[in-house]
Amino acid sequence: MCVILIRSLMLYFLVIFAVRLMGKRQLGELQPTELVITILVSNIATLPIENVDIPLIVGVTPILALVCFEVLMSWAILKFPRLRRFISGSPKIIIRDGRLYPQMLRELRFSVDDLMMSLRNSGVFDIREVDYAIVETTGTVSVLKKADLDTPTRRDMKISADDSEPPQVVAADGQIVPEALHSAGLSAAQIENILSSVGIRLSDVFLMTADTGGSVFIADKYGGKPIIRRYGT
Amino acid sequence: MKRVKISLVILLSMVIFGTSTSVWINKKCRGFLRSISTIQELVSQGSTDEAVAAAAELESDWSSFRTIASVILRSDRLGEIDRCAAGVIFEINSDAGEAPTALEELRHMISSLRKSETPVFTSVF
Repeated sequence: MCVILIRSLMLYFLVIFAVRLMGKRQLGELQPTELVITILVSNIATLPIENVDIPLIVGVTPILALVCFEVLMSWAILKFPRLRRFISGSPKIIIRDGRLYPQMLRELRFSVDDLMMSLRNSGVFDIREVDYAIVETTGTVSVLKKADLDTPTRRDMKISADDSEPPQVVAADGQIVPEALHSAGLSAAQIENILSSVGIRLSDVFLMTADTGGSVFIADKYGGKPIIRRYGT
Repeated sequence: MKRVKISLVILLSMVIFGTSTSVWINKKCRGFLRSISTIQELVSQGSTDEAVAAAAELESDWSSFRTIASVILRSDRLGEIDRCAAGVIFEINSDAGEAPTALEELRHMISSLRKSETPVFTSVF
C-alpha cells in the first residue's frame, strides 16, 4: 500500500512536470499531436501505479520520452511550415460569403448537426448571420458574422472609452501583493487608506483589485457585497 | 527555446542511461552464461563439490545483479530466474540427475533476458 502511495505521488509530480514542460498550449485547444500525447501520458502513468511488478522507470521513461519528442516536434513545426501542414493540417473554410461548401463538409465528415452545434457554440443561432466559418486544425469552428449583423463597437457608435490597463490584484487573503503595487500605481499606505475609508481591515480582505484608471474592487472574506470605488471618493 | 534545450538534455540523458543499462545487462548475462557452461562441464565430469561451489558463486553474483536490476527490469521475470537459480545447487547435490535440465532452463531464461534487453529488430518488434 505504501509503495503504491509513494509511486502515485512521484508520478503525479512527474506528470505535472511533463505538462509544464510541454507548455501553456496544453491547457488550451489541443493540436492532434498534443491530444495523442496527452492521452498516452495519462494511460502510461497509471501502469506503474496499478502494478508494482513494473519498475517505476518503465513508466517514467516513456512519459519523458513522449513529452520531449512533443516539445521537439512543436519546435520543428514552427521552423518548417510544410511539416506543420503535414502534422497539423490546415484550416478549412466551410462557409464563405454566406455560401455553404457541402463538399468540404463531407471531406471533414462534418454533418449538418455538427455544423449547427459549432455555430451555436460560437454564439450564432441563425446561419444567415454567418459570413465566414472556418474549421481550425483543432476541430473547432471560428465564425465571422456579416458586418451589418455583427455587434456594433464603441467606435461604430462614436463612444469614447477610458484607456486603462487591466486591473491588478493588489491584495489577497489579507495581505498586500507587493509586485502589483507598481503596476497599479499605488503604495501600501494608499491601499490602507482606501480600505479604512470603506471600513474594512486589511486582514478581512479576500480580494482587492485596482487599475490605473482609479477604480478599486474590494471583496471581503465573509461573502459581503463587493465594494467598487474610485480613489479619493 | 529553453524547453527545447531541456527536452534535448532529458532525451540525451535517457539515451545514455538506456545504452549503459543495456550494455551492463548484456555483460552480466554473458558472465552468467559462461558460469552456467562451467557448471555444466563440472557436473558432466562428476565434480560435484566444485560444481556446487561454482553454483553458489553464480547464485551470489545473480543476487547482487538482481538487487540493481530490479530498478529497471520487471520483478516477475527476475523472480522466475530467482526460483531457477535457487534450485540449481539442490539439483546438483541430489541424485535425481535433474541438474543438467535445471542448468539448461536457467541458461534459457538468462539468454532470453539478455536478448530482450538488447535493442535489435526482434526485441523491438
